Amino acid sequence: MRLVARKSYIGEIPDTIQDFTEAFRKLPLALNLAFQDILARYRGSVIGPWWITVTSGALVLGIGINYGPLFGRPVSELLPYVAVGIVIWSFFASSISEGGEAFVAGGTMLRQSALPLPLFIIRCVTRNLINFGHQLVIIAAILLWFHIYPRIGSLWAVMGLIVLILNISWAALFLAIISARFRDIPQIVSAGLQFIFFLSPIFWVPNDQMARNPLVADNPFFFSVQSVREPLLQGTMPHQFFTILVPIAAVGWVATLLIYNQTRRRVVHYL
Amino acid sequence: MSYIHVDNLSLHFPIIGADSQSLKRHLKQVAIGGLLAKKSQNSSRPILVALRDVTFDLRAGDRLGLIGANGSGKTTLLRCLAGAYTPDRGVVEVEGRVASLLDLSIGIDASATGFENIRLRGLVAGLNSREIEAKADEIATFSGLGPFLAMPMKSYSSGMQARLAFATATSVGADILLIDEWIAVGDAEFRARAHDRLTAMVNNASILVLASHDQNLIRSLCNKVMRLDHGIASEVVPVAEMDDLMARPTPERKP
Repeated sequence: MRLVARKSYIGEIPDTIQDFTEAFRKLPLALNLAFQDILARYRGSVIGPWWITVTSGALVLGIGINYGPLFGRPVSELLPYVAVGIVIWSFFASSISEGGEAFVAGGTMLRQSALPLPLFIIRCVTRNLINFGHQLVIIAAILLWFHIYPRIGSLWAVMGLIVLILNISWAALFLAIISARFRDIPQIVSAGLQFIFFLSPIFWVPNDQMARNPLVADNPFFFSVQSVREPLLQGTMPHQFFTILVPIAAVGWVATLLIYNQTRRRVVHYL
Repeated sequence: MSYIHVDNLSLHFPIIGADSQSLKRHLKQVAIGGLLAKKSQNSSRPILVALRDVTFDLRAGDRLGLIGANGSGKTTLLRCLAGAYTPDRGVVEVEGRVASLLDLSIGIDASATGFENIRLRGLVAGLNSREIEAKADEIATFSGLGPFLAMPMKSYSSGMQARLAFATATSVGADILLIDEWIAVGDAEFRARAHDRLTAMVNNASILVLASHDQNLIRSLCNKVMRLDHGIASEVVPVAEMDDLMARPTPERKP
């Protein structure tokens, strides 16, 4: 290990690359930490992380059954829509809001070892993926109940999920960096996510008039959910996946890497 | 062959109070022109110089004791050697696998059992599951915790935590061991065994860097000693000259 003073922005790039390769080389550690996080959180609980499934399930059934008449939609249409919507959204929202805490939570480790920063983002995203896995049961059960079976177009959902994880990862890294310095950010983010949840058609179905409103037609949060939901329910992928989500993933990653390259040495001093 | 080479190492900390860490204050500074201008005239926020032009070399078999008052930079230097802090000036070169015992709680989940924590610590230290499996028994025996290893860590005293942490860190096959003070929390029996193990490791061509206020601990474990005074390091001298080193006047504090 050879550490030298920072020479220039460009001179820092090999170190940034090394941080990421090192983080992926230490993948077993990240996975174990994620697993341990879940163990610690639900230790002593009988059904453990399945409680998340129960909580989301209650929300899905509550909205899906009760709001059907309110929205003028049959339960058989609204419930699957809400089930996929809520499950994807809670994966998205919890990953992003926990992302802001990723470096702060790993503070004791970061202050006494050479562990690379991105490792703590992998830990955060994996932990949320494990939780998300437990919630897939809700989607599976409701789709089966209403006889919505997978077809060839449903495979688009895998693409949708991959791009969703890419977007979650850069956002979590970006938020972790600025949250280390500004401790208000995680609070602002969770308030913002709450607002976006109601603003975007996650659990309500936009009518034809609303569908042209930019808040629906160009809403990246809505399409992050929709790029998994539409393939599952209708077997098609909305074109906004290609025109909005893929470009956001590319631009988001480049911008976040540029910021990371600038701040990677400073983060540990803020913890 | 393991070695540590530190050349002209300086480390600065930005000082961020609880207040200035909030976004509101930062936004205010951006929003109000006067403050912003004032800020750019003065050279930004205050900076703490934690280490200044520290230079030393250690070879295999060296056991360095770091002495100095509170806040003199001992722990900061250990963190630099562990790779957590990167230098603002100068070079830190560390060759060999490093195990650091700087904070008892690294990688430790208080509600997890002793065995789970051995596993976590082993992973943090860079072992894979198979290597940990192979070493778990030895670590368990050395820690002397017996049946407590199956109990949650939160039921441990700090001395028991130190035993576990020490047993794990010294079993991962480290070439370089960085230890901060707290080894002193172990009882006499454990300290004697810790001493034997450290001596064996160092005879096995490892390097030890130990920061402590306990001169007897340093005399018994180290063969070299270095003094830090608000970030300025003395030269490395044999441990026999520790009293002379302690008696020196504090170097003058220059901004």
